[in-house]
Amino acid sequence: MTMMTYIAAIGAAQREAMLADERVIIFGEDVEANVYGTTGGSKTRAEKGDFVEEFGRHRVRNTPIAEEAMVGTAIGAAMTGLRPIVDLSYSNFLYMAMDQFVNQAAKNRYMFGGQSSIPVVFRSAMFYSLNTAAHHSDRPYPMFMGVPGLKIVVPASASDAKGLLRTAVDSNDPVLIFEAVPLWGLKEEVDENEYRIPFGVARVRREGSDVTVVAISGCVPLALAAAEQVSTDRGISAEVIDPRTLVPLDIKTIIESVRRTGRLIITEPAHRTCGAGAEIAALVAEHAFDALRAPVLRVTAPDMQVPFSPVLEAELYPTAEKIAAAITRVCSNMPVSSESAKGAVL
Amino acid sequence: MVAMEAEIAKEVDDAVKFSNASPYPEAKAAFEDLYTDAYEMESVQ
Repeated sequence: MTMMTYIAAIGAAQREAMLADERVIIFGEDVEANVYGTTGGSKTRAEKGDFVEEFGRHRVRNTPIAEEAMVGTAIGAAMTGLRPIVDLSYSNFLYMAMDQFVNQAAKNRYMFGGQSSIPVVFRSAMFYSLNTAAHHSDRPYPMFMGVPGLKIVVPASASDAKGLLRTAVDSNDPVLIFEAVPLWGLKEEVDENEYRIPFGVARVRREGSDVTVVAISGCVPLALAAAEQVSTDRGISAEVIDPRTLVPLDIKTIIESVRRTGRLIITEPAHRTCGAGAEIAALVAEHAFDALRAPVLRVTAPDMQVPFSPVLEAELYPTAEKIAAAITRVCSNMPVSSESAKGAVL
Repeated sequence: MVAMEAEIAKEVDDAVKFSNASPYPEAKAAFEDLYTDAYEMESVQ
């Protein structure tokens, strides 16, 4: 085991995948210069990245800033035998390629009657809470959950990031990985050997008996801190579940937990309306309504654009304190407040 | 060119004949070929 940051684990997984299969290629914005540290060890754009030296420019290649062309090229390359990893940089940039994602990547296999597969991994980074303003701060994974044919991955730790990326590269379907940039520096013991983490298997990060907290992406460490806080302050035992993949979603683990605890909170950095939390709440209502002893609460970002002002932006996202307040509320079986009904915070 | 066009026309005609002679697909066929691995979208259902 090696102590590794989340972003280093992404780089390690990419190197493993490149070494394991010569059909794996990487292209995207600034991958040759290794700007974010996932394609080698060089530090500046002027230097050649380690991946370029190790694997050559025929396998590691910069693209123009033209997302639709990047995604379309990857789909074509995948359909003809390669296994591309596409670095799209900011998650907001995915919008530039929506036709390729929705009408091509997601539908081609279905429309060709199963005669083609699209083994592509699309990586993008959610740069929220970093004062990058509305055009660079979105957390758009929920809108892609509504596109059948795509698989949606939201790693929340270094070890998960590495294992899930390897599984993504193995997948014969298009996979979108949404990385929470606030987690990039998070360190964890990571197995330096090859391993995969299967999709559709949630990780129970903390066991508990009073309330189930489903935490997504960057909200996982916040939920763990909140669980520790309510345990210390109020003796509440909170179970924290990280789904790790949203399509496919391990709803069984969530329902089994809710049947034990009788209470559910979902926390995520995305907008409230039609978020992953809304889908999870609906599934639990359909399949475990009889087990609920309190209303389901969501701790999300409000349906608001992201301001540039650091002070204002900080108001938007879930925090450990907000999650702890929600835990306390459902464990007190208190009625949902008017604040919650407005969708401002809870 | 003429030979190619004739070959293509025959292939299309054969496909239409095959389609007309075949039964309608079963309802479950609507759920095939979305993903390469057939996991259940909602495993609890």
